[in-house]
Amino acid sequence: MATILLVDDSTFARNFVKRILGDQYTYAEASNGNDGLKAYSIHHPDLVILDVTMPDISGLEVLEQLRKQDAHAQVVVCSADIQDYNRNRAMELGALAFLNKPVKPDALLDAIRSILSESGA
Amino acid sequence: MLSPSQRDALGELVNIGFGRAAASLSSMVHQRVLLNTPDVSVHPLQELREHLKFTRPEVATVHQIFSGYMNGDAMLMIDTDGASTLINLLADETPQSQQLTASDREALMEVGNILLNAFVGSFGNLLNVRVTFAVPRLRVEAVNDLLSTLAIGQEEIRFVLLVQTHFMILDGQVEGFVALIMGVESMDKLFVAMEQAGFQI
Repeated sequence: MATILLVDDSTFARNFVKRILGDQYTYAEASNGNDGLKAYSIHHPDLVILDVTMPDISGLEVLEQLRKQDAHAQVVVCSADIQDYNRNRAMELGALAFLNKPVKPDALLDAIRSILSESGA
Repeated sequence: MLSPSQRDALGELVNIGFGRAAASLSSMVHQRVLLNTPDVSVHPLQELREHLKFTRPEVATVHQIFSGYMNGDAMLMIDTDGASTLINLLADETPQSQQLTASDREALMEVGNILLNAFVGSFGNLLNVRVTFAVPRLRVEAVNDLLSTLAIGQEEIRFVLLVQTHFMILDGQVEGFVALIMGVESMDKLFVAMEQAGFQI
């Protein structure tokens, strides 16, 4: 079973994603960027779903540090911040998808399934 | 304070931004969101309270500070009964209580986060400028207490740009208000960016 790490300061947002994706995955969770980086090194997830606006370090900074930690980390960014800068920067940093909140369930499911099936997780 | 062309241009910008925000809200609650024409005005900071059109004594407010090219405060205000109805719409449940639980507060904060980011973020995209958002804060309190926490209130700014727009869901069972408050320096920068982006000022 693939493991997905959810990094989002909103419990509501993490629960919403888990409700969409269902029980076919194992979840690890972190409510801020620094804890997200720690959780990544503990759980070695197959995929990370990452928020941008968080209380300590932003999701974009997390993504930058994560790249140094694991060049092959698979990350989907989900953010309420719709500015093009964030999307472009996230993709430059190697995010595999950028989804605006409120996330459309089909879009999230398609993105996750396609990434995990390509990586064989 | 504002010329007719500035007011017009700003109204158009706000319409686009709030249209985006309303679409986000509508897709979350699966209901049509009705919008009123936005109201744009400039006031001395100390008179802000009397110009806020949302007059309920106690409101649930999601407050988000933004900074970068321009600085300010974005606020989503909903009366507390409406907040409970909105949360139950999100959960597809019949309202159980008007009291906000911890998970209700989380849900409301995320709604505010999505709505305010869509609103202010669309300014960033349209004007090709960048702003960064602080994490949202939810408060349930009197409007006067809330106004004392505004970021711009901590600066020596005497005038503020107040952009207000009212929305309604379920024939008025949920009524809310979005306000964007900026000081004079940011207001000037906003008009410069609007002019550069082709708005007729």
